Amino acid sequence: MAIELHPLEQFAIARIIPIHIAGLDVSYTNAALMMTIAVVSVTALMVLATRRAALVPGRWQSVAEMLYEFVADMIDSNIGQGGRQFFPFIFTLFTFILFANLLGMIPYSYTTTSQIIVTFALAAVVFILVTTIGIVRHGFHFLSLFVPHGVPKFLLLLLVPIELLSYFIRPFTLSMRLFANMLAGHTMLAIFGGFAASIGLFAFFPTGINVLLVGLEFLVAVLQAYVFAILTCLYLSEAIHLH
Amino acid sequence: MQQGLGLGLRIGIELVVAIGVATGLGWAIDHWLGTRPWGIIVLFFLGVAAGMLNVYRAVSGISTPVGYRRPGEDGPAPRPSQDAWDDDEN
Repeated sequence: MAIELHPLEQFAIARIIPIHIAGLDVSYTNAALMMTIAVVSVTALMVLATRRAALVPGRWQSVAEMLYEFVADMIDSNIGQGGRQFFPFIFTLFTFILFANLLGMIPYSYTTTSQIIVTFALAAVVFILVTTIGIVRHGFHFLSLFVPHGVPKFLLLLLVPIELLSYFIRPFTLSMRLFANMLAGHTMLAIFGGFAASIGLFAFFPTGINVLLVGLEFLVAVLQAYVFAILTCLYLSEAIHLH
Repeated sequence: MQQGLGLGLRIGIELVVAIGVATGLGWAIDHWLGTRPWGIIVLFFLGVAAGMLNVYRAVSGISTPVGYRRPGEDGPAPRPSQDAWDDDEN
């Protein structure tokens, strides 16, 4: 007997409520549902945890305060002065990605961040925000970002295109990193799960590997949210503290 | 440790994406302007350079932002404090 393996089937988009407006397919899909759940659960955590704020925090309030302090620390140590005004943005970004990643770890749920368009949209928002802030704060001087100091004139001809390229590649690296990690991890889980289902007696071996992989995936889920947020901090820091 | 692990996962993809995106851009330019194969050749090498630059910056602590250090590591070295015997003279 052959069990058919479809390790990529878990990423299929399914329309839950089909909506078509002017020839555009804007259906409410399973990905959109998971994003909604992520937003609702973050909001619920923060609102419920701080509803009866006590001086000595309870369990839920501690979770909310730890999240707050973690992001605040990250902003202070990476942006420094003038960074706190971006706290709401970075906190939203971090908690949304964290919850989207972690909700994807629940069996039979859906990992929104394994869709390149979702992560690219997030990265594009960051990129546009950073560039806009840089231009608004520094005007024309912002372009000095692309001209390295103390370099002979003729080398600038080569270095400026490289700097430009490395700047405009940011939204791609930012989105690819999150997307590739989530996609690869979940595919690997499905493949080893498929092995375990198909080889019968020796199934304990791939099952054991899967147990380890699940642990690794939880680490990756948290770490990738952290990396996304910290890179956003670094980019913002650069746009704010332009020399 | 947390920072080191984050950094390790970060730089892995930096080089690959830089080369991929640059080469894709070169291909697109060739497609529009009919300059095949020059766009793809030039942009491939630019992509390699940009990718290496990004990896170098991520690793060397100058961090990803083009050319600038993180606050805390940056700025001039803290001024050496005055010698102890200066204090009671002024």
